[in-house]
Amino acid sequence: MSCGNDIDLITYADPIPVVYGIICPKDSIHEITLKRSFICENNIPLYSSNPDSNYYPNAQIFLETRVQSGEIIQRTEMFKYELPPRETDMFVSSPNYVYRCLKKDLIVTTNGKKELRYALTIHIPDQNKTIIAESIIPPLSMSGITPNPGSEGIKLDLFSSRPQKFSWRISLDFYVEFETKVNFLEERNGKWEEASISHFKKYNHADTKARGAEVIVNGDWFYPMLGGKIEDDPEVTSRKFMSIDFILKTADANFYDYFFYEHYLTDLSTNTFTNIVDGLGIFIAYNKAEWLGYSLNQRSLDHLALGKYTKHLNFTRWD
Amino acid sequence: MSRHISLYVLILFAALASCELPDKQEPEADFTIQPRFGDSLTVFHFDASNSSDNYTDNFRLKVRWDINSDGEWESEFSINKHFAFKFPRNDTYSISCEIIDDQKNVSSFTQLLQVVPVPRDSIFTDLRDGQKYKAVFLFDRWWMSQNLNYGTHLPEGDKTYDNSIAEKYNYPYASYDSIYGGYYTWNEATDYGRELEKGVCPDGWRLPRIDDIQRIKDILFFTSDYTPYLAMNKQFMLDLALSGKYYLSTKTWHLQGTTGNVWINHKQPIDKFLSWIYYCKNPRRRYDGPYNPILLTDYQPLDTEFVEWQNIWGEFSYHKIALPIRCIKDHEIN
Repeated sequence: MSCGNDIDLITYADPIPVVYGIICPKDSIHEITLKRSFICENNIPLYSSNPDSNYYPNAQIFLETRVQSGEIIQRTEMFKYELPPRETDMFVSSPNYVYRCLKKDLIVTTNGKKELRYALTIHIPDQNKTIIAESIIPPLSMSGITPNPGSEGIKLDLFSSRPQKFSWRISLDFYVEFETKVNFLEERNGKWEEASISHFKKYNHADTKARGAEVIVNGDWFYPMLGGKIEDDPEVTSRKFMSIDFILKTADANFYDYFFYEHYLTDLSTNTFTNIVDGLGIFIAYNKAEWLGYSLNQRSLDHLALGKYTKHLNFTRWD
Repeated sequence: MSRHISLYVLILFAALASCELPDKQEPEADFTIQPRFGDSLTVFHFDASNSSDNYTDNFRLKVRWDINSDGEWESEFSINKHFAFKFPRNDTYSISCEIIDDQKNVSSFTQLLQVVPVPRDSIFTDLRDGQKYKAVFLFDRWWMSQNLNYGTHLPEGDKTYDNSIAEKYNYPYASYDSIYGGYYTWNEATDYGRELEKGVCPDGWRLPRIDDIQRIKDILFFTSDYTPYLAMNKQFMLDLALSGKYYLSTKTWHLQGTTGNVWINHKQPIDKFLSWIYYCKNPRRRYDGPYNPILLTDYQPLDTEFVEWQNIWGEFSYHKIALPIRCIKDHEIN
């Protein structure tokens, strides 16, 4: 008689700040997003389309550089900035707020010998809530990289007996991603439009005992990759190869954990990864070495236009 | 008989099996604060991950935080060992962390934290000779961030005279001039006792007093290692140099790179003089004698103390020794 069988499924809880920030000290602008969770009994679309349910209006956000022992080296405030409306979905598309600061306001001067980290601090006065997230800044000059980043204008021969090779030294402290970005033009209705595809190879920091890693750029790998990545589009009548960029990104090892939880865990798992203290989300610093503007020699272009993996893409035989 | 023995064994086993070893040992609470020093804009990160218990696994230990040790907990018990907080005003705060294990044993640990104003830095020009000096506004007063280098350079061995001209010695390697500055006898530092307060400092500036240095020591009461705060390019931007000293009697330079002294005015009778010494602990002997020079860049711990010299001490007598000078300017309230 005295027992109640009703279960209260909706219990009020304070909103949880949700942060997403992946920043690189080499970028001219650093940008993060801050949103909030909300609880409602019904009519979720009504709440989710209301900016007040999605944003904290008075959040104070600072980006700092700190050394390993926590001492603050520099601090700059991140200001609210409105981006063009997001694509329409169940959440509010406009206003589309991010928080920004400029690279020049927070100069990173680590040479890799001393550990420097970014600290993102957020204070939400309405809730009297404070959150912090920290991420190691990978060294600006990564060790053991060959060739030296920045070399441009090289014509790749994808059938050479000495193919182009990129190599680097592995550090267990960092997650590494090697991006191959192929830039090309697509002819659609008589007009040429820029397009690109990217291939990412990921190197988990913890799953190897090797001291180094390398990527060899040859036809065996390149053409099947490109053929698989570019989607068939009947409106595209022709494509023209422009260039290839290679980008080696190094991130705080936490990024792999985040990536793993987001992509590989099944729906049955209720675990989430966050490195935000008293909040949710991810805040990661990464660094990058770039080799931009590589082109293909005539033999490699011929195979791009006529080879069995990419013939259907209608690439021209000239660059 | 054997049946009886079996029965006794069975009873003993049952008795043992029903007993649960009571865990009455409290968990060991411990936490770190980062940064150890900050202002009212700083978000401090408290991390109790190093807490431990003899039975309960670390990840099952629950933690809650009282940021002002006023008995009101700012957080509920949680397995999350991290906490962040920004303090509304400059003050000394007592941070308590309470840990509870699976057997409900509780322990707590408290640390003090000071929140103080942000140091500001600047550059000023000594109008007497046009030299520029770095300065930092630190705890309600301006400090020079470089040793004074004003006056006429005397060759080693030459004596100073009461001639109304500020005279100084310089370390023989010119590249150190901007770091070590000039070395002044007490007489030259105070214009032969006529300027005990201002000394040889630029107009508006004065020699440091004990209370100036005590203020810094009070702020740093929580640490025995001053290096992260006082050393070159560190938190307080005071950039204390290990400039050593110069002995006039032997015409020798001592302890450069190992210790540093600056003159202090403490308004005492003329036969007593104070300097503030800061040094690397690592050399087995702090003062004279054999030592291994240690560069500040080795991040050896620094300590500070006052040294009182009476002129009856002979070698340490004020007129036989020359030390650098750091000047101070009191905050002018507009």
